[in-house]
Amino acid sequence: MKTGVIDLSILQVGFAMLLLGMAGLLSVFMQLGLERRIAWGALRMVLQLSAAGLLLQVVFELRQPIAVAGLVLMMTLIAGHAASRRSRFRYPRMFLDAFIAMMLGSWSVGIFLLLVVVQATPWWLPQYAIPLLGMILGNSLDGVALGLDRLTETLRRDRHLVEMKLSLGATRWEAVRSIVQEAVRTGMTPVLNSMTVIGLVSIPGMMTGQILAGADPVVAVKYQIVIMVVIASAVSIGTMSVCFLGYRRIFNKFHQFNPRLLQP
Amino acid sequence: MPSTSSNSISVPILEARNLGWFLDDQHRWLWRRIDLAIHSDDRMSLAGPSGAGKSMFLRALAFLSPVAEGSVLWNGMALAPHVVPEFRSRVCYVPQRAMLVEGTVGDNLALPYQFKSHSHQVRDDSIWRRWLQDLGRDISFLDRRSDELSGGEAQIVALIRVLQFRPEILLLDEPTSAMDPKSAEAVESLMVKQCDETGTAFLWVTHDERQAVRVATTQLEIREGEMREVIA
Repeated sequence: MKTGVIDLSILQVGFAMLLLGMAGLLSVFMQLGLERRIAWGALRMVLQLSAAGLLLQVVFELRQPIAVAGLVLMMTLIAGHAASRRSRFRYPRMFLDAFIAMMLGSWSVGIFLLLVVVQATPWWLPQYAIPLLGMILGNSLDGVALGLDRLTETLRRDRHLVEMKLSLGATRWEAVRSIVQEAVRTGMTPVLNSMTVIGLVSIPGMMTGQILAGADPVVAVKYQIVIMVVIASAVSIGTMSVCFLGYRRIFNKFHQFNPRLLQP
Repeated sequence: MPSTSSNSISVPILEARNLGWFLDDQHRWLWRRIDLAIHSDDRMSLAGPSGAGKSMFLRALAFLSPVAEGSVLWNGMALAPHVVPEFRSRVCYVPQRAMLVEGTVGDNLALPYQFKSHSHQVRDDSIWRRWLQDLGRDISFLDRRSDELSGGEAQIVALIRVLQFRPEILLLDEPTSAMDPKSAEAVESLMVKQCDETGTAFLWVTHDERQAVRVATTQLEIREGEMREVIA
């Protein structure tokens, strides 16, 4: 793993930070008022990545399945929290739904990827399991967050239409089917879009990283194809699950709709 | 307890028992301990000051909102979850503000046939045309876009949309409030005539005392959290 990787000195990382400093200066100069957010974002990014690096180092050295599982669980919890936070309208236990959806989508696909495609020994080897799961979770976070946001927002906006359908004898599913479809579509759009431009416009981060680390581009491409398929599946499963779970909370089994659960 | 004199021995189609609606945010009961039985052919009106909870009462009867207290029985039975859609296809709530989906008037009248609870019904466009004619509208009305309709016209569409299924009970929330007097009168007589023909009962919310007298044989009122019969 170590061959071909050019290590960066702290000074070199610092140079990169200077770029952000220039962006901050520009913001001050143009009175955009973004300098605080840039500084805060940069600080968080550095701290979070450093902490992640330290944690990864520990888990890599431990080589314990329980440590890998614990870390993945923590990542999933954080992703679920972030996904539910992004929604404009929220309902009770939204976090739980986002967490479960993320778990269903990312874990099933991730475990399949590790067992069937990557086939490391042991299959849960942290060097593979954690970055791959991280990538899957990060992407399905977007899908789940977008899907939830669209679902809750549309339910709130079209609540009278939904209620009208219910009052005409629609089941709760018949009353929301079009809204759920639209929410799932919204959640999946970014990943579907990125599949159409990948390689033409963007060289994905993982491929870039592998090539920088000295891997053969063909190997990198193979990994990337697998990753894209896996991400698309995880996003689909996650987004569909969260929309399904969310709709079951906002409607009870008596086909009653409670839009008051949706609060900004 | 208001009940109708005629056939109160038979099992009512719809029965509210000890119904209570609690306002969580105001920590008080909107109305409470309401009992009401509706039999086929019943003609009831419901009045009361704004904010008395008339709409909420209709919504509770249609099982659209959970009540804090009491129960709603359909043909003497409590509603199991899976029968609720069928129940609502037979006991139809029509809100004051008619909600229509995008598309034409015809699309809106055909909408309920998409739902499982109505899928066994045979669509009969000729009824639409006949009723629209009775209400002084020609056939081109079916092709009008729903977002171009006036409030009163939308109310007409919403009424025909449920009337075509010969429901057991209509729960009408000021169904003619947005219509001009002439249309309101035409709709009123169409509704009454149709309900007479099919035995459909109704509970008709109206602020217009004369309308209440015209359409209803039992006049009810919600005031200060209680329901009582108004004796003229």
